[in-house]
Amino acid sequence: MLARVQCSAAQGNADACEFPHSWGFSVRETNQMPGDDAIIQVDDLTRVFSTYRKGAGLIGSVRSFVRREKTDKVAVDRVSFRIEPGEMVGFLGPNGAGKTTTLKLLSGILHPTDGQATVLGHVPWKREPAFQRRISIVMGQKNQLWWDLPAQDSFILNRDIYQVPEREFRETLEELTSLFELEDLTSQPLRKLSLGERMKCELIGSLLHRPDVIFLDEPTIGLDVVTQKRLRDFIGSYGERTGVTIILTSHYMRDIEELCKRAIIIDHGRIIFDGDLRRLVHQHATHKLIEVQFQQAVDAEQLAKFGDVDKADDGQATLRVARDRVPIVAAALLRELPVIDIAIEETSTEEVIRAIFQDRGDELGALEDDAE
Amino acid sequence: MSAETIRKPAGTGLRKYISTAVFSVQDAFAYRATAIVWMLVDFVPSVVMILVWQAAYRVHDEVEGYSLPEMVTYYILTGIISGTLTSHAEFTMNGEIREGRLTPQLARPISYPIAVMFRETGWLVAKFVLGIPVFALLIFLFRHQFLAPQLDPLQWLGFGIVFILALVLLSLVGACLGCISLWTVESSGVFELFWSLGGVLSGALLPLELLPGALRWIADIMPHKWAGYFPVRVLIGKVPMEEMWHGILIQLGWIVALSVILAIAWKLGTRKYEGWGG
Repeated sequence: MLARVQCSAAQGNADACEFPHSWGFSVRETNQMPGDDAIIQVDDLTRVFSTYRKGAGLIGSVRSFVRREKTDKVAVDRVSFRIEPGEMVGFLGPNGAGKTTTLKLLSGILHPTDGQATVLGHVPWKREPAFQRRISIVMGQKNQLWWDLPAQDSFILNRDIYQVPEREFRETLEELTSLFELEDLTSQPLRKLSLGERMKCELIGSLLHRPDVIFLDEPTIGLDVVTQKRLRDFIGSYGERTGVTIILTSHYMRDIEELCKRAIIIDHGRIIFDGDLRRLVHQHATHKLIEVQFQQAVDAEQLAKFGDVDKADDGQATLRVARDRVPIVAAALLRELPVIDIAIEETSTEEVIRAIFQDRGDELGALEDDAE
Repeated sequence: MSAETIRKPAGTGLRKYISTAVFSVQDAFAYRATAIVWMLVDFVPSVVMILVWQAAYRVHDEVEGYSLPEMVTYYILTGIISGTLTSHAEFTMNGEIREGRLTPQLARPISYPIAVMFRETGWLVAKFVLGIPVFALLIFLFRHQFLAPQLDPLQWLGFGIVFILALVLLSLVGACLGCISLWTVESSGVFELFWSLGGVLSGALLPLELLPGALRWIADIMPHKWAGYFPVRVLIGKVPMEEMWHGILIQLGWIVALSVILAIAWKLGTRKYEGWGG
């Protein structure tokens, strides 16, 4: 039976399946049928890391030399989930939560301590070439291209490693380099490119073999705001147009918000939420923010009776008000105070996530808002 | 029809490794000064030993069957062969494992240890080409004592086989040592110890005939001799044909044994690998 055209599940409409499209990427053909098994299946996946503790100072060093104390850290703890073809799923969590370890397990880099997983019907850690040719992993903090050679040389090497037919390679490379406006830069040694240009090259290198599943681990880390935005736009459009399945981790909330309808939140190796990010925000955002501009400065004490005052200075104020009281409070503000402008906003996703982790007693320094 | 049959891989599996070696040559040429310096470093022991033996031969005409010209030739060819064959896959692997650069490479459809061996071979090719002026200089400096190899075509063929097998053998030794880093993270001390002993056991410091009995026995059962001393002896024409084929069989035996050790060590080591560094 001829394979069907696979569409973006995240889009969920027929438009995402239209072809040919303006970029000329081939729309993927796979043997996945509607209702088929998920492209990624994970059951009770667990990974424990063993470390040796060393006491502080010289005495600690001597003691640990004689007798080492071994401790186990559960990085991923009985994690289970399914991912459908074409989904873009974001992994969220503080540093050490287990996001990257999960990606490493699913891409076959690490062996699990326990549990099972299949990606594209393969057990990842068996590292079968037939599986590896269909996935890609990009790590924002690790170069995979040769540092001293031009990126175009590394692309040719990738062509041979992934055994990509010459014609397909040329077409894909041309499309990707023109899309990223990198044509002139791929002939310069990688070390001479900026971080943003290098990351674009890394992304191109990872897409040349047209993988079915892409694992992106912090792809925008360290990039300026403009480059972050361009990479996000590219990843989003590429995912929609090719129907590729993308699993993304990022410290930048904006990456997940813009790209992923579905988020999996991990804490201490365990999944604490798996679902629609907007639904999560709606469920947990018990308050809205009312931003008000007055004709003249208003005393904060005067504002306190309307709600929690987040900020009040120079005739502007931000009030935090329970969702069900927003209409009443807004009307009261307009009636009782010299308001010249009023705006009602949802609590930011980042704030909701932060509140969830803080309720769990976690430090959330690692989960940052956008770099803006 | 499965997706896999639709997207049949192009070319053979060997091409990826050959390309790896070719790009490694290019990479090495980007650092040609480093390659020349390493070639000079590889020659230092040989030059020092030639100077020592020149002093010793003032009171002896012959040592263990070696005349002074034969001894000088032995050390020059040892320098050329060890400089051309000695790569250090173990240090490359150690650095990449410790710094976490191994991590993304494990998700690619290429065997990492074999790819490292080909990378190191590419580096050796570049080092050899860049080292030609160094070889020429050494031969020129000792031209009055250097004896050019006088081999018949069959002996040259034998030497070619011995040389290639020695290259494979040394690459496998390096890759096996490199696997230690999957357990210990920092293993350079072990490597240094191994290669220091290798200097004695491979005949780089002394022709093995000059070693005491116990050390000679150890040298016979270790792989170093078959990747250093043996090819040099074949090149200077001191190995009869029958003995050469026997040596080739021993080289092949070592290659098979080291391949098995590498496969097991890699499989066990990557099961334990923790992917340090994010």
